[in-house]
Amino acid sequence: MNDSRVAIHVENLRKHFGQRQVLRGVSLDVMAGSIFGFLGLNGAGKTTLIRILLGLSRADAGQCSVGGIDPSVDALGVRARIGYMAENQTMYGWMRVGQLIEWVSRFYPSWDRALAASLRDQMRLDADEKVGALSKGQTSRLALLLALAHRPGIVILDDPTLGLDPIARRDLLRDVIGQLQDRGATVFFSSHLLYEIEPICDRIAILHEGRIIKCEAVDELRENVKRIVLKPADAARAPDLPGVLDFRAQDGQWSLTVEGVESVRPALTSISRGGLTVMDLNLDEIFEAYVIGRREVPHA
Amino acid sequence: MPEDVRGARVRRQAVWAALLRKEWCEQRWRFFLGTVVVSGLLAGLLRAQIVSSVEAAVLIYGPVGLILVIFFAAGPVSSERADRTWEFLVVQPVSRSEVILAKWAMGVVQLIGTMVIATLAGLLAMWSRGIRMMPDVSEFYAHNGPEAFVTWSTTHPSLSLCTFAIVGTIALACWFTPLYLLLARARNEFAATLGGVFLTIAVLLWLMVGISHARNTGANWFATLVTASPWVAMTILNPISPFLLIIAPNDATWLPLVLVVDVIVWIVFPLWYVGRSSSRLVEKWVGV
Repeated sequence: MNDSRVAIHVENLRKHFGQRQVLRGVSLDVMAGSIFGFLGLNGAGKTTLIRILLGLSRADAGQCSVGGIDPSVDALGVRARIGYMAENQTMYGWMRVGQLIEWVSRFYPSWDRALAASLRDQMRLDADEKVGALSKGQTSRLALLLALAHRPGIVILDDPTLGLDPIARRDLLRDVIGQLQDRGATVFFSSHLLYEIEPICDRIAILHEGRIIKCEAVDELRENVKRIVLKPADAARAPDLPGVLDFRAQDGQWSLTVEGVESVRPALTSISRGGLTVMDLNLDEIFEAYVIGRREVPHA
Repeated sequence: MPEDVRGARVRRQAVWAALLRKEWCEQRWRFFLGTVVVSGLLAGLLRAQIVSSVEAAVLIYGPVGLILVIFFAAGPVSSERADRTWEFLVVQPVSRSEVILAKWAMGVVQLIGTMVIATLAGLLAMWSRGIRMMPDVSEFYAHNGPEAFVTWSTTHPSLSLCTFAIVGTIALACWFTPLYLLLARARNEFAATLGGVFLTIAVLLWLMVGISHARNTGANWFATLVTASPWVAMTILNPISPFLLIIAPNDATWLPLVLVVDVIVWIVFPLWYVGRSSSRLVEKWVGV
């Protein structure tokens, strides 16, 4: 917990709204300087966790710290030191871009005017335009600018590309990557789209129904989870193996998504006619296997 | 260390200036609209003399003032929630208490500003009809005491208007605080306005019960409070009691005291409580 290399520390966090358990004991560590992908379907509890990290909401149980500060103790301290960008952020439409930047700067002691100005140029934002007249893409770029201009050590992005069209999404991601790459900031990137964060993340965590069901380095995950296609000797008997995330049978062929290929290889080889075909998966398919496939896993 | 403290203070001031400036830009249309309507109404009534000047003052600092309070209290938080800018505001390094307090302060300033301008407009309207007398207030007050003063002041139109204005504005500002804090939870302006109307009517009914009780038992309000009648205790501590005291001149002896108590209970205390950096109750009440 006091390890200075850990930028965000979350331990056994729980939160419920009425009868609904939103977080059921979430634990994770984000290393300083890393880009951490936080994945989950809409409604998985991503925003709830982020609200707790920002000190906007209190956890029922568990602990967390952001940059060494407990947000339940010093929420303002946390918020002054992090950059935050929300999903579908709505800002004051009646302000002009320059006015809004000036207004937000008042809240941050470490605001860097020169950086804000250069970001505004890079992001092609006109200072005299009304915020309400900006396109969705411009609005998110402005929100990104506001999240970065006080040189935060930790940046939390909560599904920043939600609701953007593909072009605007690509532009924003390019800005995110371009701005964060050489800054050495820790990035906590929440998203429901894996392919979006796959190229930039060092580690990802998958949140599903209030639990972290996987937290691993991206390379390891890709190495570990594969699809195996085989022709079974006895098609009537579905395999009952540990590590099978997804199972589909079609035209006498089985297609399994498995975690830890090597451990199941001998068992699968023994039930197949002719060898196994092992296929690489992209992270989206892996995510899908963990989150969606989960419901269809054949039970013993 | 002193450098740090000074730096922190300067930053806090910058945050407050930013919050207040934004509030003014967002809410000034309410101030202008309210001022034009209330000033026009009061000046019109006094100039045309359709009703007596006391009746005009009762109308403006009573029902019209209450509508104005609802108008100022219902908007600031609920409109931000409806526009979803609230979420943008509270993720800044500023506490929800500070946001609420800044909006409250702007509302009180607007309310008082509107009432001051309306009163000036009313006085102008009176003077335009040739009513110019301004009797020697301090001498009469010193010789005859507060109870006689209230009765006496009603015989001098411009003086009675000023008395109504001072007492009525304090009363309305007192009502603004609890109403605003209650409405800070509303999700949109329509709900907030509706809630404000219902709450105001409920408080007025409550007061009428308290007043009629005090009248029937023949006791003065403060004495009854001391003898621990819960109804009347509520009445004397209610946010708009100064106004009701002045339209029930029999009990005006306690007017200055009631004014002071109300200002402390309904303005100073909430201000202090909400302004603390960690008023959990407010955060919990306002929610996210």
